[in-house]
Amino acid sequence: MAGLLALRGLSRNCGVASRFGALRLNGLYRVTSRPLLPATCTQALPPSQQLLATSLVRSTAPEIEQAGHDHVLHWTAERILTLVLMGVIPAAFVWPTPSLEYFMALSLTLHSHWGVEAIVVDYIRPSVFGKIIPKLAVGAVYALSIATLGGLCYFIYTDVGIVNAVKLLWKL
Amino acid sequence: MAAALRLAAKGCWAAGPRPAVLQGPLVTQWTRAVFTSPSVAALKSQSAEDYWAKNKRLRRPVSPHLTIYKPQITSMLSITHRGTGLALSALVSGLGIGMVVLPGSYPHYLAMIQAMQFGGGIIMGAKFLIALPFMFHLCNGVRHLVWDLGYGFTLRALYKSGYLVVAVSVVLAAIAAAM
Repeated sequence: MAGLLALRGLSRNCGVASRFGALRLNGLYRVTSRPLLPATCTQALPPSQQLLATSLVRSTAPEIEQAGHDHVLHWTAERILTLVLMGVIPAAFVWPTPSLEYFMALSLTLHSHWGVEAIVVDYIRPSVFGKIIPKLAVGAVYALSIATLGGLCYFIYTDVGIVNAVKLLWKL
Repeated sequence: MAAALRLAAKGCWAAGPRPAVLQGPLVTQWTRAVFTSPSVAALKSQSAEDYWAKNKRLRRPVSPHLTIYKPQITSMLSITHRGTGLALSALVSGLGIGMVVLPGSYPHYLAMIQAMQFGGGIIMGAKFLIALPFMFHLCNGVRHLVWDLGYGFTLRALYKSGYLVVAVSVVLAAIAAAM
């Protein structure tokens, strides 16, 4: 895991090939990383152990430490969902079937949920609002998204559906 | 060579005991590294106090940022992407939750709006104002995905793609409003 962290730290510094191809940074910026162990200690180690030691770096923002899990999977899922959404919305307008409508409602709500959650996590921070309010805010985002999805499914089932709603509105 | 090895085996006594992850033979260390992650507590033990708590304790002022930084197309488009996303999300949530809470059906409320008999220009303007955030968020979203593939980070490319996104958004929104 520490090795993986080191790799990720490296890929931020130089053009190492990432999952989506080489990052074309052209040396635009560097992320400074401060080794946690004192240099005198690591210099006494053989080079292979030195690499392991310097991989225990602290990112510059302490909040990142609190997320003990790997964010990469979530990030990748967000991008894939974006692509799916970009396909589903036109598809639902061309072939207005109920299954596409429900799938569009799900994709839309999930995309919007992740976006609003990111906004809330960014601005409603513990250093400004204390310990309890940020957690309540994230809970409220979940409640809002669940309510939105439920409401949209109800709307598709009982009322005209999302695609028809837009088409009827546009006919005004 | 032997002295260096002995030093490596003993570790640097002056700095205190070596963390568990650096003890033992190399094979053990590598195995440990692959299957464990450095605990947050281990990382934080290097400096026990939180960054924000420490600076609050020292009563240090925060440097001005939003109040002094010149608005640039990079930052303005970024916050607009966030803002349009938030607005569209409010629209979607409003539709979903609203149509559950409100008593009437969707055609009923459409008929109410139709009864207000807005002029053609106002209706077209309203359609443009609804379509613009959606088109901007779509176009800038594509710009984001291009960045995620690794392209377009030079300053020229940022500015060019930024202006392109704004132009395409306006054109697409105008087309949508005309439909």
